[in-house]
Amino acid sequence: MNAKLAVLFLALTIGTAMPVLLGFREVWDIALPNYHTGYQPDQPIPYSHRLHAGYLNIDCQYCHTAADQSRHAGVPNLQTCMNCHTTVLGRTTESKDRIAKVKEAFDSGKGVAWSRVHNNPDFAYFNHMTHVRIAKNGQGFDCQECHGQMQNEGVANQKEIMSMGWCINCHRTWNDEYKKQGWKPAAPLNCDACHR
Amino acid sequence: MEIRTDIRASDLADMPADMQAELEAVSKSRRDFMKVTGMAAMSAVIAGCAAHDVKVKPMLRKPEGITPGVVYDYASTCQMCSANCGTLMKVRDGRPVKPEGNPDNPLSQGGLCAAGQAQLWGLYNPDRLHGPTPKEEPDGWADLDARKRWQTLDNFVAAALKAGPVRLLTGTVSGPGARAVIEKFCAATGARHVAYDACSAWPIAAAHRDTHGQARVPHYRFENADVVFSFDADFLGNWISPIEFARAWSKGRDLRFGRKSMTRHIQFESRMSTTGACADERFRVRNAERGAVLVDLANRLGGSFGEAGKHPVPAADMDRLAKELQAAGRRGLVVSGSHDVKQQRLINWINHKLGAYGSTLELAAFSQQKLGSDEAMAALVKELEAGSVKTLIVWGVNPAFDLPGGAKFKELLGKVTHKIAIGMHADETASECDWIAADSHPHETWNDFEPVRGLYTLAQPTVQRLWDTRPALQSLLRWAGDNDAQRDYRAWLQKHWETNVLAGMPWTTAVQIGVRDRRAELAGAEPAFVGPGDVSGVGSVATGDGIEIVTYESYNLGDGRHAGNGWLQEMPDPLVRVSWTNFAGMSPFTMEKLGVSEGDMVEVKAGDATCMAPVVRLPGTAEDVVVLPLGYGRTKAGRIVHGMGVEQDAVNTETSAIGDNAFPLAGHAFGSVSKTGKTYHRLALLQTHDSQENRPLAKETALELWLKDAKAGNQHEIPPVDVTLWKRWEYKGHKWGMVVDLNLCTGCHACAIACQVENNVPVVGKDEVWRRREMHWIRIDRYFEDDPTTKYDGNPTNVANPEVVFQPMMCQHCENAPCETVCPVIATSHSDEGLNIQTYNRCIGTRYCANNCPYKVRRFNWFTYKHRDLAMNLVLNPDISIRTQGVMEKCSMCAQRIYDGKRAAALHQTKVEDGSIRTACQQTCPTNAIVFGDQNDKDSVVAKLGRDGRNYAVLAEINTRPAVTYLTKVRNRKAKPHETAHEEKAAKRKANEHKGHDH
Repeated sequence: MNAKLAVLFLALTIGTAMPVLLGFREVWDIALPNYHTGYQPDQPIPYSHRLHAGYLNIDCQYCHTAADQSRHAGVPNLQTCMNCHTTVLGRTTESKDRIAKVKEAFDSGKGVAWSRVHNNPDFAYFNHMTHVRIAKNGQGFDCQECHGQMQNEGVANQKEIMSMGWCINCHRTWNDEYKKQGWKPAAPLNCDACHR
Repeated sequence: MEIRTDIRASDLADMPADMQAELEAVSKSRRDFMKVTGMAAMSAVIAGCAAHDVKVKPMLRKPEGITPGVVYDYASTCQMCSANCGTLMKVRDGRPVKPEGNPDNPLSQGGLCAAGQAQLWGLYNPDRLHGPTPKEEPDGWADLDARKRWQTLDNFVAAALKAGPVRLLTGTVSGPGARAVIEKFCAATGARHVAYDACSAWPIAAAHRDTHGQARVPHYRFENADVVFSFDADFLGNWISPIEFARAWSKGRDLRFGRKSMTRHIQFESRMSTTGACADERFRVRNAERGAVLVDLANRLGGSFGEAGKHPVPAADMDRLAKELQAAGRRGLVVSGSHDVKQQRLINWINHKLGAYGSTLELAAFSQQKLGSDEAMAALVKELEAGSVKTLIVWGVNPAFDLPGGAKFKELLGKVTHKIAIGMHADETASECDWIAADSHPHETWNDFEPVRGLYTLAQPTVQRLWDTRPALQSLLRWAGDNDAQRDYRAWLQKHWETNVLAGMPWTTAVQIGVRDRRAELAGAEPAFVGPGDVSGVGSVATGDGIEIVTYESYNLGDGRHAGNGWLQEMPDPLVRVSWTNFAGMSPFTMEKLGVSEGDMVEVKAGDATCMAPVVRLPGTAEDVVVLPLGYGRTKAGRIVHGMGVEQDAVNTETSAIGDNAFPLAGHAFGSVSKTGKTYHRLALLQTHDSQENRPLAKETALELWLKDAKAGNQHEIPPVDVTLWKRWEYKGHKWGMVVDLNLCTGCHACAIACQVENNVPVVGKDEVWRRREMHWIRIDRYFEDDPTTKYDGNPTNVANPEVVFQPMMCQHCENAPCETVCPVIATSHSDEGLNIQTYNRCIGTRYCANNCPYKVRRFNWFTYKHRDLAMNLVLNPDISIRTQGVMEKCSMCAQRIYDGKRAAALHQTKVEDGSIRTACQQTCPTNAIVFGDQNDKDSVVAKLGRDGRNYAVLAEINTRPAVTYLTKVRNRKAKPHETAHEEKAAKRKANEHKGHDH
């Protein structure tokens, strides 16, 4: 009995002490990666969505080409950047610097290792194509539904919690709408739709 | 969580950028997965690394028409054996993830065997040579880059080729391009080419040289045969082209979709083989007696080949069967795996007498599989003995291991001045050579094949070269001095095909479908029969001292070439159900006679050749016969044979090693078996109970009874009582289901391995299998049938010649699932499409579900079976999560494929068409025994088969209402008394029920 109590006490102590000892940041890290609302890692090149998608009004899928064809939306390849940036070289020193970095990474063949912003855990299988192209009877959802108003943001960051509850709620809500409209197939609520 | 990241930078530079990203992503994401489980997360935090900093490195330029995360199919040719079946490689993000059968290939027709399914292990195998390898490193070797290293090797070879007589020793080379390369090489260097196969079909070719004037192995057409007699030809197992034969054989055995007739298949054999297990009638005939049976049969067919010796087949049966074969005429076929050329000549005479040539076997479009010539090999050995060969190039064969007398071959190699090997591994032969020119994996290079004369197939690369290797053909071209062809082999091959092969078909079409079939042009060119030749003495029964030795190419490792493949090592022998070792199989009577019991180590000895193996019971084997599978006992097949991920038993190594080489015994007919007094440590048996104990899980009947009653053999012994705790499920949309036809299952295990590859099922190793912790999601249960007429001491498995039934058993996806009820955390639940779902991330590992599963199909991860090598992680299917320690798993009916299929249909706003979703097991099945589909769709094949009289659910009486059902096995032979009795009993019961209703 005493041993069990000791274990319980130890567990409670560690549980309480961990955020204090390690800092809340680290404990937050342990949580599932998809819970990181507001996560905005430093990128090797601080690409601005506001400038490209907002001010210049470039379509999301001009760069994230796979979003309507694949599970992944796809981090754009550098060739896409170079489509414009062979001639668009920037006005300010800062932007010239950044664009030079892109060109260097492309010419040298080294590429750019971006930090991933949205990290679903390995056991959750989300499919972009389904949501962007098939959902809503083929209309698809706007990217903003999940990724927020990215065109108003600078460096990409996570807007929604992207937890399981968040997914399921959306599926349930939309299923009511599907029923009303007579759309098929409904958004699945089976475990194996995402976990397999 | 430790993952090796020490792949050389230079190797990474050779890979496309997306592959580098994949490599990084794989290691990182696996790490992330670990994070969610307590301790790993703790250690990560303490180490101070940010948990979610995952790097993504996109491609520099996106290749045209390739989208990240999308799977593309590439038609290619399987090169696991010389049968060369057609494959469609699923390629994703620049790497192959899963082989499937190519339905466009007229031979394999979409089927693929277990070895074909396991081919990707070899690609990522960390034991592969990474570049040219010298036996003794020259000075400054470490400082040379890859190009310089190849140059050093090429210089050595150039000098060696000038030294004198050169011999090029290869396996079967059938492709027009590949043969042209060899001709080129031989012309340029004066070399002579010798083709060698450890288990060749040479006796058949040699016999046809005498009887038809052409040394050819015929192309057998089982689909044209109504009656098949097989004398030790394991054509459903590993004989010449088993997948093609199995598919052709199954066409005459299929009783689905209203077919009412079945071919007859009679097997005469010494050991119990999978082919014998599937036969309608099976006779135990020792190898020594086979000639006598053949002569007896030939004499009854109108020949006069002298007196037949004493053999065990009763005269009445011989008479009946001979008449049956004669009646079949040109729709009859006799095949034999005999190594006796005289017996093969007699076989040819019988087939000629039947008029079978041109009908059930063809010599015009003949087989070019297993082309190796025993005679040429014997001549080469003589040359080596005489010391007249100065330079020997060995490509892709391993005679130091698999030539009977391999140890001698190793010695003979010492007499050769320059020895060069071309291969992917430093195997027993290559490691004796001065240099190994590291060959690329078949997935990294172009190649072509002509498995049957006139049928050309292409193999194309599906991944960039992982290491500094060079394809064998390119090495040969380089050494022949043809640098243009060497530099761009694809261009050369295309030109060669356009000139010699394609005959009008565009090259792109050939690449797309992988096949060019020009067999029709050969029609009518059948060579004439010139006479049976010398068949004297065939009818006499050979006598010898001791026990008869029967060796066979093992079902999983082949001739030993797959020994480094973990998936295949863990695949059990279909009949004995032992994995991770070979064995000395004997009939229970012989075991009793020798005083040995299962697990005893025995020494099989003939002359100075020996093999140590544990005894296992193999009912159905002829008496006084010991059966030894070949291919085991490799010493230089990489880390697998030294126990990958398995605790090696240090105490008792000699009796727990992974098999012993039986090739030295292959040439001997008779030998001795002696007890060693030791017991084999940890025999990895996957099934220990062989009988159904008269409670038929795998139901069966005889054809004549089935023709009278479609439900023959399939009446409920105990009718199910429809009582359930829960509300009945409603399936408003799809209701997925599967029907397995036991009549067509040959127990080949292709489905089990396909499932393992598709679903990231780990290899657990010998020790864990011994603990009954194997992870295969499909197990093929094998039952030896109780036949009252040959009963022995009451133990049903001890019958002399039992009938066999195979039953693939996977999660039955019950409607009233016992597992779902007991899970405390709802990790296993029911989908509204009839599937039983296992949610790994929810599972806390109580194992209640496995306990409560009546089918015992749930598998528990006792450990985290991670790959030790980073490259091996690339073999994992990215659509399936990796399960870790403490998690239960089981068949998901390929949920990922179901969702892919539904997604594709939704994209085009059509309904999911029947047959558009194919599970991994269904796709690969050589006999199409497995059908998957929507039971709610009344027109689907699954729904139709659900209404078939043969359809039944296993353990229907406990009312689990499985989504997986089976079709009764029907044997095309006279009904046995107990089968007739069963029918009578069922009829009586039915009549009584009716009476009851009347009252």
